[in-house]
Amino acid sequence: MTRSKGLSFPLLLKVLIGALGGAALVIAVLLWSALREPRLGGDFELTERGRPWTFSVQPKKLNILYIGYAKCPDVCPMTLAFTAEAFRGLDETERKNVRLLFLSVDRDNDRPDDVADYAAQFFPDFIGLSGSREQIDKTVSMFNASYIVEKNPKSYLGYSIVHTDRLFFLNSSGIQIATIPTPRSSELILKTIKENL
Amino acid sequence: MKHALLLSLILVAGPAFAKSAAVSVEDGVILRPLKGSNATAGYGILKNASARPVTLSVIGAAGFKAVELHETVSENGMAKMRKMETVKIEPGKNSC
Repeated sequence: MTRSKGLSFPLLLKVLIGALGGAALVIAVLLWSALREPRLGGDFELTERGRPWTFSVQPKKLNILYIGYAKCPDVCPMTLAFTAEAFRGLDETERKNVRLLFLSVDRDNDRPDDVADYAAQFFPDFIGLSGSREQIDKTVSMFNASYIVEKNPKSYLGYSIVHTDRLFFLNSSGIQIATIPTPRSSELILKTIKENL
Repeated sequence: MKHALLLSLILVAGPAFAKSAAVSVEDGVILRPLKGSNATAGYGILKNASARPVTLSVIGAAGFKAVELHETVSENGMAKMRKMETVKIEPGKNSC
């Protein structure tokens, strides 16, 4: 009967080194993944004037997303007005590479054509988007944004919508590369556009 | 505009106010209602030049179905409107 030999010391050492190296690599990858900034965004589907609209179809180099609703009397028109002012500060080439997407979360009251007409009045190229409840909620959550419909029987409208008040700057893949919270100015918006074009 | 809803505009009606120069509105503006929305907003600086506090309330505005006073606040990155029934302006102070 032949007694089988165990691993020789050199081979055992090689196996041990390999295992340690592999473990170190796994730890490094986990740390890198945990420490890097989360990537928000991506492709999303909504509707424009009731027709299917997909972000990845003819995206611009820079895409600015704002979430609100057409009956918002204050922050939404102010934001769109400031952004329109910024767009007027771009030259023709710059303007061809950027677009503004206005997403209404007021699914129950903002008709798709109303949203599109509303956005276009601030700047002709602004795109007003709507969608199903699922499409809107999925898109909003992709950017860690949110909204709440608050019933208010004392108000003529009967409700108001609390919503994230932030401009999201997206690359051509829909990934967020910059963002501007409130307060903001048209100068700051223009500066951010130029920095990301 | 006749059927538009005007929010965030302060109006005080009544002969007492009309005759009083103690309370005034500066830089008043009403944004043109846009197609696609039946709501708009007005802004201004209310000044109380009197020696007494003044409490203003919303009455209405010709051409609008409703007028309301709101305060817009930003909390944790969220824009929120709070309806106000009145606004009080201390003597010598302004309210925007």
